[in-house]
Amino acid sequence: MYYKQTGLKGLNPRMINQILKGSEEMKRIRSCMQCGECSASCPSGRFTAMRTRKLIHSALLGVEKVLQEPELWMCTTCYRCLERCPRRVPVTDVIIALRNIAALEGYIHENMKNTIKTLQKSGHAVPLGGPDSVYTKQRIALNLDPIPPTVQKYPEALEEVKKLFEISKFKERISLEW
Amino acid sequence: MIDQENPKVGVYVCHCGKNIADVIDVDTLTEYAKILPGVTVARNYKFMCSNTGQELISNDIKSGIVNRVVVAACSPLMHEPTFRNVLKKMGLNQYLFEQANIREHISWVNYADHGGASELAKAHVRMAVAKVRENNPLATSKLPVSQEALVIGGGISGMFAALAIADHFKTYLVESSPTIGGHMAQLDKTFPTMDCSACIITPKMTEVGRHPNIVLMTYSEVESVDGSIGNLRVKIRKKSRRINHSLCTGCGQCAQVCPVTTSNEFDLNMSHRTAAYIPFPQAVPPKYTIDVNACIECGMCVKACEVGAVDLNQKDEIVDINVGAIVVATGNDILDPSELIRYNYNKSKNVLTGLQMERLLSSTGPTQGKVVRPSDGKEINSVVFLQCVGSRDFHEGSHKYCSRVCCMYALKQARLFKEKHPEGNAYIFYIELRAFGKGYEEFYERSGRQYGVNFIRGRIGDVFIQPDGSLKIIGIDTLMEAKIELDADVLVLCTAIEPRKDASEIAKKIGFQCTEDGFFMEAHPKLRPADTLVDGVYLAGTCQAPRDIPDTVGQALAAAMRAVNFIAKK
Amino acid sequence: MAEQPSMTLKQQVYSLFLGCVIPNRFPMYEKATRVIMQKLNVELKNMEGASCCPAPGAVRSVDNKIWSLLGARNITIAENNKADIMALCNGCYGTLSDVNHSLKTNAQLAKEINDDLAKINRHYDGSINVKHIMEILVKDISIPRIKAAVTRPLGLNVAIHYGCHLLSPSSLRPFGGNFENPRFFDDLVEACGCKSLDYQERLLCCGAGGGVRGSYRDISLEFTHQKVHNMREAGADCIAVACPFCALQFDLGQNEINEIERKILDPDEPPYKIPVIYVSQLIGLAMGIDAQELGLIKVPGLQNISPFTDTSPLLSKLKPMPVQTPTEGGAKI
Repeated sequence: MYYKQTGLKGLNPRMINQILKGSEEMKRIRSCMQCGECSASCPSGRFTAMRTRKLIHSALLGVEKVLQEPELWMCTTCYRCLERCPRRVPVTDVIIALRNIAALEGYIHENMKNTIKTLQKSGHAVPLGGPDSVYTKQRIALNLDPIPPTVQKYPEALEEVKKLFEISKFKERISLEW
Repeated sequence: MIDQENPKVGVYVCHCGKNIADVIDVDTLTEYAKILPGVTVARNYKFMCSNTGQELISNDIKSGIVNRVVVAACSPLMHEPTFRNVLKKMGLNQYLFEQANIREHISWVNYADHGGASELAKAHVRMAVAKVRENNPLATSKLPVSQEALVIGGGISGMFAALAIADHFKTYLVESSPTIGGHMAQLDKTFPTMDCSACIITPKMTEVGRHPNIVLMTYSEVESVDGSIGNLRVKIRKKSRRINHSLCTGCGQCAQVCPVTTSNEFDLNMSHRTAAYIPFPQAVPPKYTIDVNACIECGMCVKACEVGAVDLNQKDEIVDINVGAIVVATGNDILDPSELIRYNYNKSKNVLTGLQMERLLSSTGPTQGKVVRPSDGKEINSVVFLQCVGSRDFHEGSHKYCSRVCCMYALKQARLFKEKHPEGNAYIFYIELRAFGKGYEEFYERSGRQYGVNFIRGRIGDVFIQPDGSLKIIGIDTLMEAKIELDADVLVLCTAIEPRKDASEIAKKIGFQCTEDGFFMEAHPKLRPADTLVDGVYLAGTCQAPRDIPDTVGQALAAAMRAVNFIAKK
Repeated sequence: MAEQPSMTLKQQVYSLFLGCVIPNRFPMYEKATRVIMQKLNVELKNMEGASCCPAPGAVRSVDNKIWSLLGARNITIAENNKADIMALCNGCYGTLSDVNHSLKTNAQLAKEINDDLAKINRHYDGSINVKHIMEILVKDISIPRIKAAVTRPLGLNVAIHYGCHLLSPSSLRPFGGNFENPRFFDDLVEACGCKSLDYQERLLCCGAGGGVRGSYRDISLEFTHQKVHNMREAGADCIAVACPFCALQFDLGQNEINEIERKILDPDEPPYKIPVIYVSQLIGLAMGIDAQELGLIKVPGLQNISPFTDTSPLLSKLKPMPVQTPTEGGAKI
């Protein structure tokens, strides 16, 4: 049948199917009545184009484009939406789940890619930077152990962390241009 | 005469089409029944309740091989009368019958476990056979039903029920506040007709007050209910109002001289009254009451009363009555939005509930109907309504249900505001705008077109109180996909209609149930909306569910009819 | 509101989870915590080999599997210590507490995680609890006990910032139902002799979380700007935090907000310089410990280290130490 239009079409249930595989609480996304309590409460929505309600609707309906929306990454996970939703939809968790799905497709903000690479290399998202770094000197000046008792002090522990990345096949799933 | 002494039990297993037969092995069950002690014949058939099925039983009775009957089928609530009738027609005492419920109790709840279900069915049949063997022929007797009725609650539902019953039987109407009239007396105008609420209800109130067959007991509560169906012995506590109503002329001198001021609950704490008071001018009975909790016993009223009606030593009085039927019409409360901190209900006098807004608009209200800001009396330029506050909300302490009437009353109040202030602005934040009744959609349409009410589909996220007391409201307009910032003088929270706080106590006293939402439980959600599961006890009005005035009156009259029918059986 | 301490007789022991930002950027918070816990007779065991929690913003957003795995690994370190975790950061608390909860309630998930942990010779038992330092202070130690240790009521006007993951999701947090109106941090600060300011939108997020500080710096600073504006309007002497990431967002964030090029300040709006203080430091000051010991005085001679917003206005506003008895020597600052 021939029908000319440029609006929404080709809705794909795979996002919602993926989300529904989560915990019991995640299934509550289907209770969403699109009231807008989440958007009304969202602080990001005050200064950005982030529309929480629309992200949930996109996930439910299967509008694939949402995975590429930069708004998806503007959420600070402050949880206000989740706490106030009258249908008890775990909104913040849905946004994180959408981010997970987007990440599998390669849609991750540059900055996060860098953070994870740093984590994989040093065991910390924000590392000390070695014995000559200014932060180590700050620790010494405060009479603390120069190296805190984390992976930074125990190389075998850092090996464990790296091994977990391998075991979970992280690099195969998420492409970060390693 | 059929031999009723030595039990000869006939067992009839119903397939109920596939309902039973698909789960329970009916043939094995029938064979099993044959070996039970006392059983002379066992059969099974597709539909025992059909004429053919019934004939199986009647033929066996006629030929003398059966004088006790067990039917293993659906719930006795469905067909016990049907089968009992078969016995009766064949000259057998109808109580020599037992019905084993192998459908609702077994096949319908064990459809995944056929083996287990069949075993259970054998047990149920065995029990029914054992019982019916011991059954004695019974005679039904008749007990007289008290020819009086009690209506609990003097709001619109209680009043209509009482008036309808009182056409036939003496009716007691018990109301816990000093006057009848209920919430409707607090309303300004009513949708969709915009009738003045007080104008249409006060004639009913006076009719109740002077009806020869209604015993009106205001400022009274039901203390306890005992007895049995048809003869309910009720104790009613007439609370002490410290004024002798047989002497009181309603002149109001006591209120004039009373030095105590306390919060006026009729105005929902937006104004004050004295300890000696009448709730509103058209109260019925048109007499005064002294609030025992506020009274300081100074005695000024005693001196002022020219007929000596004030009696500060008056005690509560217990009255005993015996009634055949009760109509429960105790009404509803409104959700307190204090817990919803973001709306700042406790911090600002300009954030109101729907009922408070109603009082503000009402000419008998705290501002005599002048629509001004409660905080400072300034004119209102902009009023914002928020729907679904505490309704349609699955949080603990809120209500999952829709309160039904709030969309309509928000439209009404917005209209009333615009009538008084055409240049002002009214905004309604809604999720859906529910206009379900007769004339309601038309009312909605006109509110926009003729009165200029604004509609924003969305919710309110924050309410900030400005230094001058006005409100800054931040919400979302989901249709514009934009945050919206409004300056408002008053915010009306359309809060949920909820069961009265003492609802479960009343239910316990009388012996009926509440549903999960806390309202009283009707006998059947579709087919018996005015009945409870207790014969002779009926429900009317918002004590059973949120309801508008037309439906309340309808249900009240239905409850009255049920009560009359019950009592009329004598 | 007096709360009975839940552990009075036995010595309280916790596994100290440091995370990343505290040990590597705000080490004075670690210092202050160790100092006050010692004074309160609470033993802190190190979690040797702990890694990033991992960060709820970056890691959880990208991959749930590695987030759960690394979180579970950290929990096993505390299980080996046989001591509940004391988390000093809302983010670490959020991650570790939520991972712990998931694994305790989902046997299938726990099995999958343990299958992987087995390959590094670890096993998640579900034997410990994860607590935030605030929970430990308010419930386990109790405010009355802290108040009893206060020798120097501070007299500050404090703008408290609770942060988000401390309170939410409220169904998984121990502070009771009302996430829209918590009082426990205010009560703690008042026990230290301070006034907790009721500034507008006191519960608003700082803006740093969810990866937003990294991915959209200016958006995060809009949040921060709204907060510090309201705090300043209410007369704040300092911002009290329970999370180093919030601290970073306020501490370094105020400098960033002040940058003209970012155009975040309104025209004619004076720049922001409200000092930031971590809960352990605040309690430490009130217990009479000197500011140097608590790391409130910036280490001289090093560039680009915390605190990024000058703390001396805060220190000069403190009520002086109560005069010591003659045998103990003179008053200290």
